[in-house]
Amino acid sequence: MKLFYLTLKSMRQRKGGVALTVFTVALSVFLLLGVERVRTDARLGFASTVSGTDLLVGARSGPVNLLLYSIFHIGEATNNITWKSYQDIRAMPEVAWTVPLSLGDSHRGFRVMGTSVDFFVHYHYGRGNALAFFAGKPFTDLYDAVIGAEVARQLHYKVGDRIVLSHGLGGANLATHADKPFRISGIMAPTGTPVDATIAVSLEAIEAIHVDWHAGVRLPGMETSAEQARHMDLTPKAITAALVGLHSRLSAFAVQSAINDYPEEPLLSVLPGVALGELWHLVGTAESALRVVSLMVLLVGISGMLTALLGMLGERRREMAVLRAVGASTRTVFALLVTESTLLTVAGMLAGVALLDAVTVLAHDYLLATVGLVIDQTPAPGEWPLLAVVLALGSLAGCIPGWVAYRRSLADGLQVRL
Amino acid sequence: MKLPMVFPFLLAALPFVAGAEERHLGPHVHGQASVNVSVQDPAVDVEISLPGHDAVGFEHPPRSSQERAAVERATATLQGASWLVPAPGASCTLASAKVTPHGFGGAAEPGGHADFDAEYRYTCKKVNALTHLDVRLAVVFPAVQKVVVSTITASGSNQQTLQGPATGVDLEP
Repeated sequence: MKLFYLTLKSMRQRKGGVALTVFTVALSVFLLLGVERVRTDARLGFASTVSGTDLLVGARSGPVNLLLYSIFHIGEATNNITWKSYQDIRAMPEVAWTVPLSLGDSHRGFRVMGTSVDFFVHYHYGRGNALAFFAGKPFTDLYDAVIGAEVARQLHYKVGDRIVLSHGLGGANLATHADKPFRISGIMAPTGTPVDATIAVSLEAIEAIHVDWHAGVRLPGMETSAEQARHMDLTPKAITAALVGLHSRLSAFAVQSAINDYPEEPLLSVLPGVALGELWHLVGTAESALRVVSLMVLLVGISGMLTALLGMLGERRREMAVLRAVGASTRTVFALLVTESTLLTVAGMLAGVALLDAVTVLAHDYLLATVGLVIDQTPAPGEWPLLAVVLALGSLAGCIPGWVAYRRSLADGLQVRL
Repeated sequence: MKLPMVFPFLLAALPFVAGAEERHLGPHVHGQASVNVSVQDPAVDVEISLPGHDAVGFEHPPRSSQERAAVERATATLQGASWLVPAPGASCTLASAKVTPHGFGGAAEPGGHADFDAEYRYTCKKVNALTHLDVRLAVVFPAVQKVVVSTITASGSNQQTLQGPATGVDLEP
């Protein structure tokens, strides 16, 4: 207790230096834990791009391929699913809900996705988060569109604005659906998933804007007005993929193999988590890169911390010599130095953790909106070992000057040096 | 596969089937067993597919009494489910087990391979405590090199591959 008191008193005499050292340790801890948290959350965020969906169904290709085009909107589908097959899947007694996804058109670089209003109910991400509306509501009219947060941010759209969709992926050929403009009925809140960069319209709307199109070109002389299209049969002929929810997870594998063995059309159904895991294996190099960065930060952070601690303690040689002169044992001197470095490290760690928490809270929305990264406030499991390493090294740092003070003669510290 | 449950779906395909020959062939990898685990409180369903090559060393109807005994032994081992150990904290009891050998009877299977399929139903008092499963297929059948375990629980779906001496499968109930 006396030791502790003495350490505190001594530290009070050197407020500036102590504050700087604590700050350096705090920054190192902040960096260390920050990189670790970003790495963990990037992976978690990716792994939960789709949650709450039991099966993802598309044309037969590969699980990763299906996931890429249907959920991440990267690349194209190898084939579509006919409406009849979709209806058959929907009619299976084990199936609780299905959400169709129809891709193909775009608007100024963003993908347009035809779906049903059930999408806003059943599509979940992260730990079971449902889609939320930042403004407006799901589409109700045929020519309503709901846009993702990223679309709204980049194109400065608001509810009520009118937009024209491009045929296919747009580009220079100017094939637009200008005759049938859409009204933005809602803007979704940011999710950190590909939904943010999506424009959702109803399946019927996708049909309606294509009534005059046949074999990839607009039929000359055919001009169905937006109003006329409303009265036509807008049942889709095909969709790109479907999300499937089941009544009971126990039937998941049976339904999966029934869909995979569906005789009339080659279909593929995958468990989204399994496909996401496979995809993460492919893009896992990014995680390894972050790991390497994490390791480098660890080295730099720890050496910064050690330098600060050693510099601080080196200044106290004289103080230690005086203590020895008034009768303190070498062991006391050693303990004093180790206590101080441990105290400084603990204070730095607390400050670092507090700083990280403050930053994650403050930057949460900004990071989500700009880079689509969801940073969790709860510590990642990998953070505890890192903190233990920091504490151990911090205490160890006290041992070096402690050992030096232990070994040195009294005269060394008391000598007046010019 | 639970045929009765998906039957209406298959039935819908029947008229089509009558008109044209159908050729579907699933994958079959020697040395690799697949295990599917689905959890819905309080039931845990486990289904496996094990290549005959790894279970008994041959994939044809038994030609000698030794081969017949091997098939019976493998069936009994699978039926006993001793290779599958749910986390003890979950208090799971085996409610039913059904082993179906394919391709070891009179008729050859399409593709010429033979497998052992098995389905198990466990009832667990504390599904929340079911944090892992021990899958010792590779211990019981040393020819198995790799066990691919797909899981679906309340927290989502996942796939883990067991290789070498590893037997632990993590579950997040």
